[in-house]
Amino acid sequence: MSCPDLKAYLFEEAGPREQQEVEQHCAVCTSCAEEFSKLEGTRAALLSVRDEEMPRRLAFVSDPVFEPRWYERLWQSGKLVMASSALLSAAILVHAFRPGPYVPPMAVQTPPVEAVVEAAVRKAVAEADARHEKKTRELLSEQKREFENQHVQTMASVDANFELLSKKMNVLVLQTASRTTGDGQ
Amino acid sequence: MIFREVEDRDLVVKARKGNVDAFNLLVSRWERRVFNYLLKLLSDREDAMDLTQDVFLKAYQGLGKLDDPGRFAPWLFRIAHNEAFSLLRRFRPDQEEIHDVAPPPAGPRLLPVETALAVTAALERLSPEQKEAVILKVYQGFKFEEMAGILECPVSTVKSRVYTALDLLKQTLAPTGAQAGGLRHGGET
Repeated sequence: MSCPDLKAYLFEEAGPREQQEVEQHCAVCTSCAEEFSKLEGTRAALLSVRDEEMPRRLAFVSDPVFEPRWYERLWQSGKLVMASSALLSAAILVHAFRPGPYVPPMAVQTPPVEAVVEAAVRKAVAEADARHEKKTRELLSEQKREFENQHVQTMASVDANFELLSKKMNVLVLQTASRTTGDGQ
Repeated sequence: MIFREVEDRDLVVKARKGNVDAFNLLVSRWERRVFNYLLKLLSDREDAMDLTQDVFLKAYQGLGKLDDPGRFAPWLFRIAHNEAFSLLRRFRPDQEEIHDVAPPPAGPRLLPVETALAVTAALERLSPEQKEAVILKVYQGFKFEEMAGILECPVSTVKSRVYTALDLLKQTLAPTGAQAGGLRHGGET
Protein backbone atom coordinates (compact mmCIF):
# COMPACT_ATOMS: atom_id res chain seq x y z
CA MET A 1 0.00 0.00 0.00
CA SER A 2 1.60 3.32 -1.12
CA CYS A 3 1.45 6.25 1.30
CA PRO A 4 -0.28 9.46 0.15
CA ASP A 5 1.24 12.94 0.10
CA LEU A 6 0.77 14.00 3.72
CA LYS A 7 2.58 17.30 3.28
CA ALA A 8 0.32 18.45 0.46
CA TYR A 9 -2.60 17.63 2.74
CA LEU A 10 -0.98 19.54 5.59
CA PHE A 11 -0.57 22.66 3.46
CA GLU A 12 -4.05 22.35 1.97
CA GLU A 13 -2.62 21.84 -1.51
CA ALA A 14 -4.24 18.44 -2.05
CA GLY A 15 -7.35 18.15 -4.17
CA PRO A 16 -10.62 16.79 -2.76
CA ARG A 17 -9.82 13.26 -3.94
CA GLU A 18 -6.31 13.29 -2.46
CA GLN A 19 -7.68 14.67 0.80
CA GLN A 20 -10.09 11.78 1.04
CA GLU A 21 -7.31 9.30 0.29
CA VAL A 22 -5.12 10.73 3.07
CA GLU A 23 -7.94 10.60 5.60
CA GLN A 24 -8.87 7.02 4.72
CA HIS A 25 -5.25 5.93 4.67
CA CYS A 26 -4.35 7.49 8.02
CA ALA A 27 -7.37 5.85 9.59
CA VAL A 28 -5.77 2.46 8.98
CA CYS A 29 -2.02 3.27 8.80
CA THR A 30 -0.57 4.01 12.24
CA SER A 31 2.85 5.14 10.97
CA CYS A 32 1.33 7.66 8.54
CA ALA A 33 -0.99 8.98 11.25
CA GLU A 34 2.01 9.43 13.54
CA GLU A 35 4.02 11.02 10.75
CA PHE A 36 1.20 13.45 10.08
CA SER A 37 1.05 14.36 13.77
CA LYS A 38 4.76 15.14 13.70
CA LEU A 39 4.38 17.30 10.62
CA GLU A 40 1.49 19.15 12.16
CA GLY A 41 3.45 19.64 15.40
CA THR A 42 6.39 21.01 13.40
CA ARG A 43 4.18 23.47 11.61
CA ALA A 44 2.59 24.50 14.92
CA ALA A 45 6.06 25.11 16.41
CA LEU A 46 7.02 27.22 13.40
CA LEU A 47 3.84 29.25 13.67
CA SER A 48 4.43 29.89 17.36
CA VAL A 49 7.02 32.44 16.26
CA ARG A 50 4.81 35.43 15.54
CA ASP A 51 5.43 38.19 13.06
CA GLU A 52 7.19 41.19 14.53
CA GLU A 53 6.03 44.79 14.39
CA MET A 54 8.15 47.02 12.21
CA PRO A 55 10.62 49.27 14.08
CA ARG A 56 9.27 52.19 12.06
CA ARG A 57 6.83 52.71 9.27
CA LEU A 58 8.17 53.20 5.79
CA ALA A 59 8.59 56.70 4.46
CA PHE A 60 5.89 56.87 1.85
CA VAL A 61 7.03 57.71 -1.61
CA SER A 62 5.72 60.81 -3.28
CA ASP A 63 7.80 61.18 -6.41
CA PRO A 64 5.55 61.78 -9.40
CA VAL A 65 6.87 58.76 -11.30
CA PHE A 66 3.55 57.95 -12.87
CA GLU A 67 2.34 61.47 -13.48
CA PRO A 68 0.98 61.85 -17.01
CA ARG A 69 3.30 63.49 -19.52
CA TRP A 70 2.57 66.97 -20.88
CA TYR A 71 0.93 65.71 -24.06
CA GLU A 72 -1.20 63.28 -22.05
CA ARG A 73 -2.33 66.14 -19.81
CA LEU A 74 -3.03 68.26 -22.90
CA TRP A 75 -4.99 65.42 -24.43
CA GLN A 76 -6.95 65.02 -21.21
CA SER A 77 -7.68 68.76 -21.01
CA GLY A 78 -8.59 68.80 -24.76
CA LYS A 79 -11.08 66.04 -24.16
CA LEU A 80 -12.50 68.05 -21.29
CA VAL A 81 -12.88 71.16 -23.47
CA MET A 82 -14.56 69.11 -26.21
CA ALA A 83 -16.93 67.55 -23.73
CA SER A 84 -17.79 70.97 -22.27
CA SER A 85 -18.41 72.42 -25.75
CA ALA A 86 -20.63 69.50 -26.71
CA LEU A 87 -22.61 69.86 -23.50
CA LEU A 88 -23.06 73.61 -24.04
CA SER A 89 -24.17 73.12 -27.66
CA ALA A 90 -26.67 70.49 -26.59
CA ALA A 91 -28.03 72.81 -23.91
CA ILE A 92 -28.47 75.66 -26.46
CA LEU A 93 -30.24 73.37 -28.92
CA VAL A 94 -32.54 71.98 -26.28
CA HIS A 95 -33.31 75.47 -25.08
CA ALA A 96 -34.01 76.70 -28.64
CA PHE A 97 -36.43 73.93 -29.57
CA ARG A 98 -38.12 73.49 -26.24
CA PRO A 99 -41.64 75.06 -26.09
CA GLY A 100 -41.69 77.88 -23.57
CA PRO A 101 -44.05 78.07 -20.61
CA TYR A 102 -47.61 79.43 -21.14
CA VAL A 103 -47.69 83.22 -20.81
CA PRO A 104 -51.11 84.98 -20.48
CA PRO A 105 -51.74 87.87 -22.96
CA MET A 106 -51.81 90.54 -20.24
CA ALA A 107 -48.46 89.43 -18.98
CA VAL A 108 -46.94 90.08 -22.43
CA GLN A 109 -47.92 93.77 -22.36
CA THR A 110 -46.62 94.29 -18.84
CA PRO A 111 -42.97 95.39 -18.80
CA PRO A 112 -40.73 92.88 -17.15
CA VAL A 113 -39.88 93.40 -13.52
CA GLU A 114 -36.16 93.76 -14.28
CA ALA A 115 -36.83 96.71 -16.63
CA VAL A 116 -39.01 98.46 -14.05
CA VAL A 117 -36.41 97.97 -11.36
CA GLU A 118 -33.64 99.15 -13.66
CA ALA A 119 -35.57 102.32 -14.63
CA ALA A 120 -36.30 103.08 -10.99
CA VAL A 121 -32.67 102.61 -10.10
CA ARG A 122 -31.54 104.86 -12.95
CA LYS A 123 -33.99 107.58 -11.91
CA ALA A 124 -32.90 107.40 -8.27
CA VAL A 125 -29.24 107.53 -9.25
CA ALA A 126 -29.83 110.54 -11.55
CA GLU A 127 -31.69 112.38 -8.80
CA ALA A 128 -28.95 111.69 -6.31
CA ASP A 129 -26.32 112.87 -8.82
CA ALA A 130 -28.26 116.10 -9.45
CA ARG A 131 -28.58 116.74 -5.73
CA HIS A 132 -24.88 116.24 -5.19
CA GLU A 133 -24.00 118.49 -8.14
CA LYS A 134 -26.23 121.29 -6.90
CA LYS A 135 -24.83 121.06 -3.38
CA THR A 136 -21.28 121.10 -4.74
CA ARG A 137 -22.01 124.23 -6.81
CA GLU A 138 -23.52 125.99 -3.77
CA LEU A 139 -20.53 125.12 -1.61
CA LEU A 140 -18.09 126.36 -4.26
CA SER A 141 -19.86 129.69 -4.73
CA GLU A 142 -20.04 130.20 -0.95
CA GLN A 143 -16.33 129.50 -0.63
CA LYS A 144 -15.65 131.94 -3.48
CA ARG A 145 -17.66 134.69 -1.82
CA GLU A 146 -15.96 134.15 1.49
CA PHE A 147 -12.55 134.25 -0.17
CA GLU A 148 -13.39 137.52 -1.98
CA ASN A 149 -14.57 139.16 1.24
CA GLN A 150 -11.39 138.13 3.02
CA HIS A 151 -9.33 139.47 0.11
CA VAL A 152 -11.12 142.85 0.18
CA GLN A 153 -10.64 143.15 3.95
CA THR A 154 -6.96 142.27 3.63
CA MET A 155 -6.44 144.87 0.89
CA ALA A 156 -8.24 147.55 2.95
CA SER A 157 -6.05 146.76 5.91
CA VAL A 158 -2.93 146.95 3.72
CA ASP A 159 -4.04 150.33 2.33
CA ALA A 160 -4.68 151.72 5.82
CA ASN A 161 -1.31 150.55 7.07
CA PHE A 162 0.41 151.98 4.04
CA GLU A 163 -1.31 155.36 4.54
CA LEU A 164 -0.30 155.40 8.22
CA LEU A 165 3.28 154.55 7.29
CA SER A 166 3.37 157.35 4.72
CA LYS A 167 2.14 159.87 7.27
CA LYS A 168 4.79 158.79 9.75
CA MET A 169 7.43 159.11 7.06
CA ASN A 170 6.26 162.62 6.16
CA VAL A 171 6.37 163.67 9.80
CA LEU A 172 9.87 162.32 10.16
CA VAL A 173 11.01 164.10 6.98
CA LEU A 174 9.55 167.38 8.15
CA GLN A 175 11.20 167.10 11.59
CA THR A 176 14.55 166.30 10.05
CA ALA A 177 14.24 169.28 7.67
CA SER A 178 13.38 171.72 10.48
CA ARG A 179 16.38 170.50 12.57
CA THR A 180 18.71 171.02 9.64
CA THR A 181 17.42 174.54 9.02
CA GLY A 182 17.79 175.54 12.73
CA ASP A 183 21.35 174.26 12.95
CA GLY A 184 22.21 176.27 9.78
CA GLN A 185 20.86 179.51 11.30
CA MET B 1 -9.21 37.00 -0.02
CA ILE B 2 -10.91 37.53 -3.37
CA PHE B 3 -11.97 41.04 -2.36
CA ARG B 4 -8.44 41.73 -1.16
CA GLU B 5 -7.02 40.70 -4.55
CA VAL B 6 -9.51 42.89 -6.33
CA GLU B 7 -8.60 45.82 -4.13
CA ASP B 8 -4.89 45.30 -4.76
CA ARG B 9 -5.51 45.20 -8.49
CA ASP B 10 -7.57 48.38 -8.27
CA LEU B 11 -4.88 50.12 -6.23
CA VAL B 12 -2.17 49.06 -8.67
CA VAL B 13 -4.19 50.45 -11.58
CA LYS B 14 -4.72 53.74 -9.74
CA ALA B 15 -1.05 53.94 -8.71
CA ARG B 16 -0.02 53.45 -12.33
CA LYS B 17 -2.11 56.48 -13.28
CA GLY B 18 -0.16 58.60 -10.80
CA ASN B 19 -2.25 58.17 -7.67
CA VAL B 20 0.42 58.16 -4.95
CA ASP B 21 -2.16 57.59 -2.21
CA ALA B 22 -3.13 54.30 -3.84
CA PHE B 23 0.47 53.14 -3.72
CA ASN B 24 0.79 54.33 -0.14
CA LEU B 25 -2.16 52.13 0.71
CA LEU B 26 -0.42 49.17 -0.90
CA VAL B 27 2.68 49.95 1.16
CA SER B 28 0.77 50.10 4.42
CA ARG B 29 -0.97 46.85 3.51
CA TRP B 30 2.13 44.83 2.64
CA GLU B 31 5.06 46.42 4.47
CA ARG B 32 4.74 44.30 7.61
CA ARG B 33 4.61 41.03 5.69
CA VAL B 34 7.55 41.93 3.49
CA PHE B 35 9.52 43.06 6.55
CA ASN B 36 8.86 39.80 8.39
CA TYR B 37 9.73 37.72 5.33
CA LEU B 38 13.06 39.54 5.08
CA LEU B 39 13.63 39.45 8.83
CA LYS B 40 13.21 35.67 9.01
CA LEU B 41 15.40 35.23 5.97
CA LEU B 42 18.20 37.59 7.00
CA SER B 43 17.87 37.45 10.81
CA ASP B 44 18.82 41.14 11.02
CA ARG B 45 16.30 43.89 11.78
CA GLU B 46 18.22 46.77 10.21
CA ASP B 47 18.94 44.83 7.03
CA ALA B 48 15.32 43.75 6.87
CA MET B 49 14.13 47.32 7.37
CA ASP B 50 16.48 48.78 4.76
CA LEU B 51 15.60 46.13 2.23
CA THR B 52 11.87 46.57 2.86
CA GLN B 53 12.31 50.24 1.96
CA ASP B 54 14.25 49.28 -1.16
CA VAL B 55 11.66 46.70 -2.15
CA PHE B 56 8.83 49.24 -2.11
CA LEU B 57 10.92 51.83 -3.90
CA LYS B 58 11.69 49.35 -6.67
CA ALA B 59 8.10 48.25 -6.74
CA TYR B 60 6.97 51.85 -7.22
CA GLN B 61 9.46 52.46 -9.97
CA GLY B 62 8.68 49.18 -11.72
CA LEU B 63 4.93 49.12 -11.28
CA GLY B 64 4.46 49.74 -14.99
CA LYS B 65 6.25 46.46 -15.73
CA LEU B 66 3.81 44.35 -13.72
CA ASP B 67 1.93 42.37 -16.35
CA ASP B 68 -1.03 41.34 -14.23
CA PRO B 69 -2.03 43.91 -11.56
CA GLY B 70 -3.92 41.12 -9.80
CA ARG B 71 -0.63 39.36 -9.00
CA PHE B 72 0.88 42.24 -7.08
CA ALA B 73 1.81 40.19 -3.99
CA PRO B 74 3.86 37.46 -5.73
CA TRP B 75 5.53 40.16 -7.84
CA LEU B 76 6.37 42.17 -4.71
CA PHE B 77 7.84 39.12 -3.00
CA ARG B 78 9.82 38.38 -6.14
CA ILE B 79 11.47 41.79 -5.72
CA ALA B 80 12.02 41.07 -2.02
CA HIS B 81 13.55 37.69 -2.88
CA ASN B 82 15.97 39.29 -5.34
CA GLU B 83 16.97 41.95 -2.84
CA ALA B 84 17.49 39.44 -0.03
CA PHE B 85 19.56 37.00 -2.04
CA SER B 86 21.57 39.81 -3.54
CA LEU B 87 22.48 40.88 -0.01
CA LEU B 88 23.16 37.32 1.12
CA ARG B 89 25.51 36.79 -1.80
CA ARG B 90 27.33 40.08 -1.24
CA PHE B 91 27.83 40.10 2.49
CA ARG B 92 27.47 36.56 3.69
CA PRO B 93 29.75 34.33 1.69
CA ASP B 94 30.43 32.38 4.89
CA GLN B 95 26.85 31.18 4.96
CA GLU B 96 28.02 27.64 5.66
CA GLU B 97 28.99 28.58 9.20
CA ILE B 98 25.39 29.35 9.99
CA HIS B 99 24.47 25.72 9.39
CA ASP B 100 26.78 24.66 12.19
CA VAL B 101 24.63 26.24 14.89
CA ALA B 102 23.75 23.46 17.25
CA PRO B 103 20.05 22.94 17.73
CA PRO B 104 18.69 22.86 21.26
CA PRO B 105 17.87 19.41 22.50
CA ALA B 106 14.37 18.42 21.56
CA GLY B 107 12.21 17.62 24.52
CA PRO B 108 8.70 16.42 24.96
CA ARG B 109 7.40 19.90 25.67
CA LEU B 110 9.10 23.30 25.36
CA LEU B 111 8.25 26.68 26.86
CA PRO B 112 7.22 29.38 24.35
CA VAL B 113 10.60 31.11 24.60
CA GLU B 114 12.40 27.83 24.18
CA THR B 115 10.21 26.97 21.22
CA ALA B 116 11.01 30.31 19.60
CA LEU B 117 14.72 29.72 20.12
CA ALA B 118 14.42 26.19 18.82
CA VAL B 119 12.58 27.38 15.73
CA THR B 120 15.16 30.10 15.07
CA ALA B 121 18.02 27.64 15.46
CA ALA B 122 16.29 25.03 13.31
CA LEU B 123 15.61 27.55 10.54
CA GLU B 124 19.25 28.66 10.64
CA ARG B 125 20.34 25.10 9.94
CA LEU B 126 18.52 25.09 6.62
CA SER B 127 20.01 26.34 3.38
CA PRO B 128 18.83 29.85 2.39
CA GLU B 129 16.66 28.35 -0.36
CA GLN B 130 15.01 25.85 1.99
CA LYS B 131 14.54 28.48 4.65
CA GLU B 132 12.96 30.86 2.17
CA ALA B 133 10.65 28.10 0.94
CA VAL B 134 9.45 27.47 4.50
CA ILE B 135 8.95 31.17 5.15
CA LEU B 136 6.92 31.66 1.98
CA LYS B 137 4.85 28.55 2.59
CA VAL B 138 4.32 28.48 6.34
CA TYR B 139 4.50 32.13 7.34
CA GLN B 140 3.33 33.91 4.20
CA GLY B 141 0.83 31.25 3.11
CA PHE B 142 1.64 31.30 -0.60
CA LYS B 143 0.52 28.44 -2.83
CA PHE B 144 3.19 26.29 -4.50
CA GLU B 145 2.32 27.84 -7.83
CA GLU B 146 2.68 31.38 -6.52
CA MET B 147 6.00 30.41 -4.92
CA ALA B 148 7.18 29.07 -8.26
CA GLY B 149 6.45 32.52 -9.71
CA ILE B 150 8.25 34.31 -6.91
CA LEU B 151 11.30 32.04 -7.02
CA GLU B 152 11.21 31.61 -10.80
CA CYS B 153 11.60 27.87 -10.66
CA PRO B 154 9.35 24.86 -11.35
CA VAL B 155 6.63 23.88 -8.89
CA SER B 156 8.37 20.54 -8.41
CA THR B 157 11.50 22.33 -7.20
CA VAL B 158 9.46 24.42 -4.79
CA LYS B 159 7.72 21.34 -3.39
CA SER B 160 11.03 19.55 -3.04
CA ARG B 161 12.52 22.43 -1.05
CA VAL B 162 9.52 22.72 1.24
CA TYR B 163 9.26 18.99 1.83
CA THR B 164 12.98 18.53 2.48
CA ALA B 165 13.04 21.51 4.83
CA LEU B 166 10.02 20.25 6.69
CA ASP B 167 11.64 16.85 7.20
CA LEU B 168 14.75 18.52 8.60
CA LEU B 169 12.72 20.79 10.87
CA LYS B 170 10.66 17.87 12.05
CA GLN B 171 13.76 16.23 13.51
CA THR B 172 14.12 18.99 16.11
CA LEU B 173 10.69 20.60 16.34
CA ALA B 174 8.26 17.70 16.19
CA PRO B 175 6.79 16.73 19.55
CA THR B 176 7.89 13.32 20.65
CA GLY B 177 5.65 10.78 22.26
CA ALA B 178 2.37 12.64 22.67
CA GLN B 179 0.28 13.27 19.60
CA ALA B 180 0.28 16.92 18.60
CA GLY B 181 -3.00 16.74 16.77
CA GLY B 182 -4.53 14.82 13.93
CA LEU B 183 -6.16 15.06 10.57
CA ARG B 184 -8.73 17.73 10.01
CA HIS B 185 -11.36 15.01 10.03
CA GLY B 186 -9.40 12.81 12.40
CA GLY B 187 -11.79 13.30 15.25
CA GLU B 188 -14.60 11.89 13.20
CA THR B 189 -12.78 8.77 12.10
